[in-house]
Amino acid sequence: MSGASSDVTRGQTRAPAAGAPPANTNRIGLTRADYDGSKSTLCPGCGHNAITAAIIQAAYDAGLEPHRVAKLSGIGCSSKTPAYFMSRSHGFNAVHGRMPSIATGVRVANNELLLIGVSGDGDTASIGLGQFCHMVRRNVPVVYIIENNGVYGLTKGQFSATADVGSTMKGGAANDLMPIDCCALAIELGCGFVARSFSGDQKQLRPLLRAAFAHKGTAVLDVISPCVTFADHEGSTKSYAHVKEHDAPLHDIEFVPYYEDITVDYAPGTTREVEMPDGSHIYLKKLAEDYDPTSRERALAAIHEARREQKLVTGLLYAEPALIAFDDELKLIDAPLATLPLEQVRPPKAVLDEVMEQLKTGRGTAPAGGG
Amino acid sequence: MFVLSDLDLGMNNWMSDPFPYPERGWDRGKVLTDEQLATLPRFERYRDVDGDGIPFRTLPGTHDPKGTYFTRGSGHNEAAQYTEKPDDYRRNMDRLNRKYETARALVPPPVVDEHGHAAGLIAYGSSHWAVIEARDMLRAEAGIETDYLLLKALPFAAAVEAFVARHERVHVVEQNRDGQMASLLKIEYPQHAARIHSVLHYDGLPIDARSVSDGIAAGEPGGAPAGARAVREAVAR
Ligand SMILES: Cc1ncc(C[n+]2csc(CCOP(=O)(O)OP(=O)(O)O)c2C)c(N)n1
Ligand code: SF4
Ligand SMILES: [Mg+2]
Repeated sequence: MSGASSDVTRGQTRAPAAGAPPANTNRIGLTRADYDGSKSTLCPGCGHNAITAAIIQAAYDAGLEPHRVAKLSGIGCSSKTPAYFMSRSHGFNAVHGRMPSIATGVRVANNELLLIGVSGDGDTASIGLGQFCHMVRRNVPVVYIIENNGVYGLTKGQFSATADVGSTMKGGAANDLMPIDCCALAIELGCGFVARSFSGDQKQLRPLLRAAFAHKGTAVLDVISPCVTFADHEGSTKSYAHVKEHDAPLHDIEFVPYYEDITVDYAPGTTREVEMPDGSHIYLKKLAEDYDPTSRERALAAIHEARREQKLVTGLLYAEPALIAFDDELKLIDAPLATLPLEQVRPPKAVLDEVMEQLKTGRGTAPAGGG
Repeated sequence: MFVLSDLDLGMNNWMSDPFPYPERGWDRGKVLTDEQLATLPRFERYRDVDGDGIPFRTLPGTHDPKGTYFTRGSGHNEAAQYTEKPDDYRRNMDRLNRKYETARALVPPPVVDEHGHAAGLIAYGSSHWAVIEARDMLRAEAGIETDYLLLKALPFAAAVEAFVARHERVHVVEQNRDGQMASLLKIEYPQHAARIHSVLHYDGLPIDARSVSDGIAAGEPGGAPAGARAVREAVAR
């Protein structure tokens, strides 16, 4: 992480080396179509479809290996979308609000997989709130995308727990319960990558996704994603018109991966740079004010100020790339547990006998339980 | 597979014999490796290729693109693709039924202690030790001899039906108000429904042998609870 004072020169991507992938392919030789999924069955114009497109583009640009990606979701229109991208990847549609448990298990079983989780505001903030909180505090490495429309789209438009006070349903009834802000909650729970974006802002969303792919812990992306069928009317604070009018980006974002030899040229004091553990960089070009994404207090203040001023603050709210990784905390070995041969995972009889002896005598240490 | 426990097992300290070392390692079942996939023209996650209702699967991380699939609810076809077609759905439901039938012979079998008596007991979970003690009490106090089947899993194995069929009176001991396991047995074996009786314990405390023995005695000829109680009191004196 460095401040806003370095002065480097923007270079060109290094000339392709001999044996480089053919044209119209990415760095691992796949075409964009290799990242497609089946055809969306969502309503035309639904914000979720735009987020699907951003995921496909970001995965293609990043050169993700499809077989090393696990797509996970819960229940909802949003949670249906993993079927619409990356059909060459593994996928699991969990019970409503329970994707974090599945994600934790997948990651423990195979730490070579990049987990892309797609959830909704209902799936995360209503029924799944407990699971969401514990995934964040464990720092399970998941790119956790909340496709936030303020309603339960799939069940015909009831308010979810992220609906703003005063926002109205299609029939006119207003919500008067306090909204849960998933970004504020994630920051409070120690999340090391928290961003908010808008499905209509591909320019902001794609680099945020790429940066999230490079993050080693839970990355929460709360993406406002209008529901054209139940929440796009006047009076809804998650309609296209309302979001466009109130969107207040913190910065312009550029992501430079470790494998691209690019330096970014910026005048002193205009840009902040965040270095990811793999050597990739996020460049945040200042807009109205110089926003420091490494300050948890500043991030929470920005969210509260925005709520007071009825603005939608978007961008990389908080980044702490060097948090202790889940794998290290669990002392996982490098090889994926799922691939270990039986001989390596079956302790000999002497080990069981020893455990039994300890239980009988009360001597020896029982492993400490985690909360 | 779902593993069930009950509150009594989960919240109290229990004594047991030391666990024996498992003779076999785990068996992950019908999992295809990358090498096996390479030899196949295609792979479909829910295609019942050999009639047991249990299709082959792959593990996440499998490299061969044929081996990836999307796990979702019941609205899918054999290739794990989303579907709303009634025929696909019905085929899938029928396949699950075949899987359930196959599972009867794969799940842990019941433990049967049988000596040709007319009364048979069925229990499961933490009712077990109360039943063992109750059988001794019934024999000592009222001269009632019983056979016993300890259920270990659903779906019911063939041995469960055979046990029910061989006994004039079957007492199902369980810890809920509604006699849920007895109902399942009656649904499964309607021809034997009349011989299935419930002995229920649901007062919020762990089950005890006395309430089991009283319940069984009440359902046995000549074993009215008052009689059992008189014998018991005489023994105690
Ligand atoms: C356990 C359970 N409870 C309730 C439901 C009904 N249900 C289906 S989707 C949904 C809400 C989804 O809302 P959200 O996550 O915001 O997704 P959206 O459809 O808005 O994208 C609910 C309540 C369910 N499927 N399962
Ligand atoms: S109901 Fe709303 S959230 Fe669901 S697909 Fe339609 S527009 Fe999208
Ligand atoms: Mg929603």
